[in-house]
Amino acid sequence: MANKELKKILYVEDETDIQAVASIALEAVGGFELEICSSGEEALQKAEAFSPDLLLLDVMMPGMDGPTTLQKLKEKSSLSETPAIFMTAKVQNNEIEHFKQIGALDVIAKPFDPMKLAEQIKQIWDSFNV
Amino acid sequence: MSEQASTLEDKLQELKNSYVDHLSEKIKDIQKLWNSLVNNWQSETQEELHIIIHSLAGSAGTFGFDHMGKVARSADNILKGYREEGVSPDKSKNNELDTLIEKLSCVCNEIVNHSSNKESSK
Repeated sequence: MANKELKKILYVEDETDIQAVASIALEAVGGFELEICSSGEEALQKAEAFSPDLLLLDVMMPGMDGPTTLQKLKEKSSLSETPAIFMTAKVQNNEIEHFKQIGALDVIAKPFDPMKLAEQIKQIWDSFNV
Repeated sequence: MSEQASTLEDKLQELKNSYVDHLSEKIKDIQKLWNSLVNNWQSETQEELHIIIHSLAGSAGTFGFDHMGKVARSADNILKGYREEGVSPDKSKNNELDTLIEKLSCVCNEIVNHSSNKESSK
């Protein structure tokens, strides 16, 4: 994925309030193309057709949680190499390491600043994309 | 402030208002789940309560309600211990949870009152 520009983000988040803020943060502020899914199941249905550059996943969701969703998305051949970032309200160091071990580039802590979220994501993307 | 930034601020403010509109309902759901859990401890109810409190811990701060986010985070940590670390619910921790959920209700009332005072003074 060397020097690839980040354009399309598949965002999996169950809470509609946070979806709305993230949509402003990533589309209006960040200029990304965003596909929002309200559950892991929905992400599994939509992800391949959307063909995202990056997967952005909430960790704790009803039904299928973020780590399980990521694991299932990566089982799809077209998404097996797609980088992922988790977002969560719990970020102890050992948990960040665990999320990285299961395939995340990094973890973004909630609460997030809507005006800075896109920049945070770009920084993580760039640091793994040099 | 540029026109675009101002529009974004306006949109975020609208979302914040909408969040506040639904906050009381969310806290009532938390109280209902907590009361149900105390009367009859079921792991499904505990899980449901944990998800809604965890989500509040993440969302409140995003909308600028840091105090509510911190109170929710404390409750989230207790429930996380119950869920992930196999800690058995005990009286002392449950009393702490009870106090935190009561505090969430008070903070919510403050936020809603503050928001409606701002609206009425416009």
